[in-house]
Amino acid sequence: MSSPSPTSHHDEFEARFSDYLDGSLAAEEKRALEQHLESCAQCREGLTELRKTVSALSGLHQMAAPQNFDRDVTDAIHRRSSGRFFGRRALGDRVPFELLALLALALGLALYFFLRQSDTGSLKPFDREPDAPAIHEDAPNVVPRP
Amino acid sequence: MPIREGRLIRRLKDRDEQAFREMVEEYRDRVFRLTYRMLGNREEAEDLAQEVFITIFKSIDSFRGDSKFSTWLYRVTANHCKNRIKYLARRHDRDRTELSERVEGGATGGSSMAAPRPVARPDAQLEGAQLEQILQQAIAELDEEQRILVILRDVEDLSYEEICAITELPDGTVKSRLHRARMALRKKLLKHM
Repeated sequence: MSSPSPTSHHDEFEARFSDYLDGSLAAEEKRALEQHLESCAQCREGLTELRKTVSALSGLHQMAAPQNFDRDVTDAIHRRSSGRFFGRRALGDRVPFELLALLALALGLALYFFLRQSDTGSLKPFDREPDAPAIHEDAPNVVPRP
Repeated sequence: MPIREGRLIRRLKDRDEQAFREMVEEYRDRVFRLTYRMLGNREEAEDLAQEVFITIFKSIDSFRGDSKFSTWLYRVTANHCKNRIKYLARRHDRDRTELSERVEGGATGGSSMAAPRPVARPDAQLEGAQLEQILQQAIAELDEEQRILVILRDVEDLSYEEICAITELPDGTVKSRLHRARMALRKKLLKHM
């Protein structure tokens, strides 16, 4: 079996440079790379250049949004929506119609059964004979004699 | 999700204008920086950042809180950037075609095309604005998939975990693409370092 060519050997180590710089290389791989770097000027140089590149990127100016950005974006929304975007929305916009319909049906049924059970409810069925009025023996005779 | 963030999102879903202002104030710089680094043009970046916030506000109901709000915001921004880059490339191609047709037809007098001007300073150590310009140009030459990774990781200093969530790419893909992007930048910057 032939040993890898010097170029592929370098490529193999070079492929780990980013992980090495990010500190995410496994301990064994890190040790192997560092050993290789000690003896390989080409890879040392390559790693230094990559480190400088990454460092330059992280040093880029942290720019801020333009001063009137907030106002401009809010104005754009108002303009495009003719003022309809903002403002508290109705319940129906926030809760799905199906859920509202189901809720209304459940409430209706609950009300129906409540009124049906209630003694005073208007939905009480007329299926019982009304109780005969009690006749008390000692009650005064309220019917006038003929 | 943090309580404060959850409350802000509930208010956004209620179309609360004050909540919208608070959200813009909190995230405007991050969104603008990303659009600027992706597009390399201040006016385009500002316009696109506005579009991002309008999209966020319009589609806030679709945010279910599966990820951090900032992750979702970055994802929307990244998608907007990619679309704008494609649109600008198409427009650029169309303009070039129209211009070359006019030149061939003799309508113009051979004016110079607006090609990026190389920065002439090959030997010295670069600093400040000049390095910024060179870097920005080098970033602009990357394809947009590599560009977004370099910006999120090396400029914005986001974690790999967050980058994977934003780009919806596996960790291995993010790392290998980022490495290729860094190596490409290294090559481009070599003559200036």
